Amino acid sequence: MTEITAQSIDEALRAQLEALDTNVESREVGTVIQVGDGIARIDGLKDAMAGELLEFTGEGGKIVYGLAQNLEEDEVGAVLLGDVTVIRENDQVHTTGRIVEVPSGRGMLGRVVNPLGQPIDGKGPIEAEGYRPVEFRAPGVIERQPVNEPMQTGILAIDSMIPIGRGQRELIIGDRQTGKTAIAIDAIINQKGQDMICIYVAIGQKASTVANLVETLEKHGAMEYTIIVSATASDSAPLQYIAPMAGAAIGEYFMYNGEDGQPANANNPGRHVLCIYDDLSKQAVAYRQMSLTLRRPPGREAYPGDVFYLHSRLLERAVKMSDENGGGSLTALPVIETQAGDVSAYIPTNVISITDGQIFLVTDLFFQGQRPAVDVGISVSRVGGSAQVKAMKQVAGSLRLDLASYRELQAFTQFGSDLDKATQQQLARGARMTELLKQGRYVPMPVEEQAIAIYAGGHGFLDSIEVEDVTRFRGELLDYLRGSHAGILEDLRTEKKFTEDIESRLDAAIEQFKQNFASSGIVE
Amino acid sequence: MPANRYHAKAEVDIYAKTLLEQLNAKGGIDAVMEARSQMEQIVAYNRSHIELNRAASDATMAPEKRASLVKGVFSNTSEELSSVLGVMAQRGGLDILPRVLAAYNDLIKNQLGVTVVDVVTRVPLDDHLRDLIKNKAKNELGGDVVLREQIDTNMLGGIIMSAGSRRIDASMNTMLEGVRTTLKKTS
Amino acid sequence: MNKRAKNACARICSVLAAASAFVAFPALAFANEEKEGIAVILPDMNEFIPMLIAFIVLWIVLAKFGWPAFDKMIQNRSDAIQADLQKAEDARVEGERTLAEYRQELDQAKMQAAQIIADAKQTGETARADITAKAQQEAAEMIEKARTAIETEKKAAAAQLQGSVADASVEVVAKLFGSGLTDDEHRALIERYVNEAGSFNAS
Repeated sequence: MTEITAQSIDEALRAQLEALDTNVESREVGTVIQVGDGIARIDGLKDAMAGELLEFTGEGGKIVYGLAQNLEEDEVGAVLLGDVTVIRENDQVHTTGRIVEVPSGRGMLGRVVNPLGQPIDGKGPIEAEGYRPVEFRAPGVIERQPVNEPMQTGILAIDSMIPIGRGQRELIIGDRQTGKTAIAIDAIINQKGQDMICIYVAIGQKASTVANLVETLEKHGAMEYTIIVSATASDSAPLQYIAPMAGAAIGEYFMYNGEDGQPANANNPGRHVLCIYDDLSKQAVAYRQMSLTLRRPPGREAYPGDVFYLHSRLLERAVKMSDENGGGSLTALPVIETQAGDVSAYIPTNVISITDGQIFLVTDLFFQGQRPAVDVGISVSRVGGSAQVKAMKQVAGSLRLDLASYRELQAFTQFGSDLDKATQQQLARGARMTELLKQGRYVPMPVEEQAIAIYAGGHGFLDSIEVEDVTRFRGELLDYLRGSHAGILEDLRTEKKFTEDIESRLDAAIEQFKQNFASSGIVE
Repeated sequence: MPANRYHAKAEVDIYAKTLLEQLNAKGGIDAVMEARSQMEQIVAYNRSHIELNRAASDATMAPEKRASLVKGVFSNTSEELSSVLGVMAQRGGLDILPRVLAAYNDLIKNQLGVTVVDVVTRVPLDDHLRDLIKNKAKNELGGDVVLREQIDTNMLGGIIMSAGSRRIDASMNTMLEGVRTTLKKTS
Repeated sequence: MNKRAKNACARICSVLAAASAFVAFPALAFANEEKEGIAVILPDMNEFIPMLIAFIVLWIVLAKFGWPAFDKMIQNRSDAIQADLQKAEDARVEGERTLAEYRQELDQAKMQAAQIIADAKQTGETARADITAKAQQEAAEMIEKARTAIETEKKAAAAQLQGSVADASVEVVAKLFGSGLTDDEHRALIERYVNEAGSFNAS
């Protein structure tokens, strides 16, 4: 425990004075010509580099940082990060020779920071282990390896049919109020004990929403391994613009460095990071605002021409490193909000084409009570299949087929005609499978339990259960298995696939449970 | 103002060159320096005050009237400078003045071979210090060094030296600010 | 009763009727009894012969019709009794078997009940252990959290204190410099700074 004594303060001050650099170097200075809308135009600074960090000296010697964006013939356009009100015309600006860096390290876990890495949760200063540049070149082909480990979200519908691997980029897309953030939060909560570091980047959201989210994560014990980077709606556009990149940079520190803080290599494995950008449409809007005030020419939907590059270079930083480079990973879950389900708008099409798949959330399903409202028909994961657990692969194939044929039949049977027995059976199976995929919030399921639930559905154990009872059956069955047949779950966990032995024991157990379940249903 | 930026640059160069040559012929380096500091003041004033700029480029006014207006405003500057400003106003406005100033500075350096070092201090310099600074600048930048001294009583102490776009800020204020930030850092 | 038994009964009745007709004649003969001594007990030949004939006829008739019917009746009855006995025996065996089965089932049920209770107990036990462990862990976590919170508070306080000390010292220095130095001292300071300063060309 630290004691606050005069001596400790004295020591701290002395230590800082030791490090004080009294050398004065010459620096290139410029003058602010114009300031407003969070941007500044600067005269001079002929040596400034694109994206370089600029230091503005404002009223009363206050330092405000900015980013050099437009390098023109005799002036520089820069965006201001921080308090724009202290900067006036004729203020001095000088270059720093650095680009924006954010602090990172274990000290940030459980903290809420702004896009510059400064704490905003009132829990005191953060001890940084290292700094990472906000803009960073994504690793090349040689440094990567294909995605091969699963990143379990704990959501049945996603882990079974749209599996996500560590190092993948999976888009979560949907209208407002369809549960996009809920999926992201569930995914974070499910990473407990998975040796995963989660970074949630809130862009342009209400501060109260972010506060709620922090509370939720804390309640579920998920803040211990989570860092929240928050650029709320009241932060300036440049801050919202760099927020996702800052989140990626904070995550990259953990991926490129091992547990001991040294660069990761074959003997010093890098860690696994999950990065959620919620949401990139707001970042694009912030970037549009910035670009327009910088007088860059507008393109489609008034976005600047390089908005595709903005998102592609951000998402390209999601990676699964090769074993020689420590085998760490950075999984990206960007979120995009669509307007009235229009996925052909500029930003959604861009991000869909960049990512390795997408999870579509649909308003209709949401209001039908199908939550999470994932439309499994048009949601895909292009690379996650190779990272899926074998047990899940065994059962999920039939699930997809069942649901596909169900949807097809459902469309036909809406015309209302006599159905033969096989069709009826297929409809009944489909209805139960759809019901099986419903899941509450904050109740992630371990993968072996998900596999068992789908196994029970796929092998017809649910066919005689009423549709309304399916979720209850699933919950009680898993409770029963956990209580009385923990061996089956344990074996499935270690074997990671359905062997004949496990299948026969599981069949017997489910059959036995079903008898009890049916009787309890009558009593009620 | 011409649409082609090469034309614009040529125009700026003509203004700067005319001004420099006339001033140099008439009053030597001192007149050149005097006009330079006056132009700097005008540019800085124009950045935070829009009225003069607007009046100088007001299309509803006859060009001759604009020229006489601007000449009137800057009547206490040298004749050459005020007439150049008047021509600028007549031909479209004072928007290009910062570029003219930049070109003027380049010409001072390249054509006259003079390095201008702006020095800001709290107390007046003595000759010993002037020699010291001149030697330093001469060694590092070359050319004949001309010091432009300025006294700022708001400064606590120390010195700020600027040459071109480069600046050495050894003022007490900046140093103390640095000390303050360092001391506030927790390790 | 079956048909054959009825037939047999009818035959026996007709035979008995015929026999009683024969017996009626001696009763008529005794009515005119006049003998004495041994003759009383010796049969009278004219009575004896018809009686013998009647007896023989009766015997033949009985042997021919009566006896087989009777014999058959006896046989039937014996068979019936035999069958009934057999049935009873079977029923008894069956009963014993069922009883054994019931007993076995009862035993099984008892065992199952015990098993279920044991299972339930075990589940309860694990659940309790789980809950206790969880509660303990939560308590430990809370304590840990509180501790970190206190720690961060302290750190924040220390940082703030350090900040105000720094501010105060800088203010003091600024005051001293501003008016406390003579012009010559200022110049000496400037000289030092110019000598120490980096180059104009340094990047």
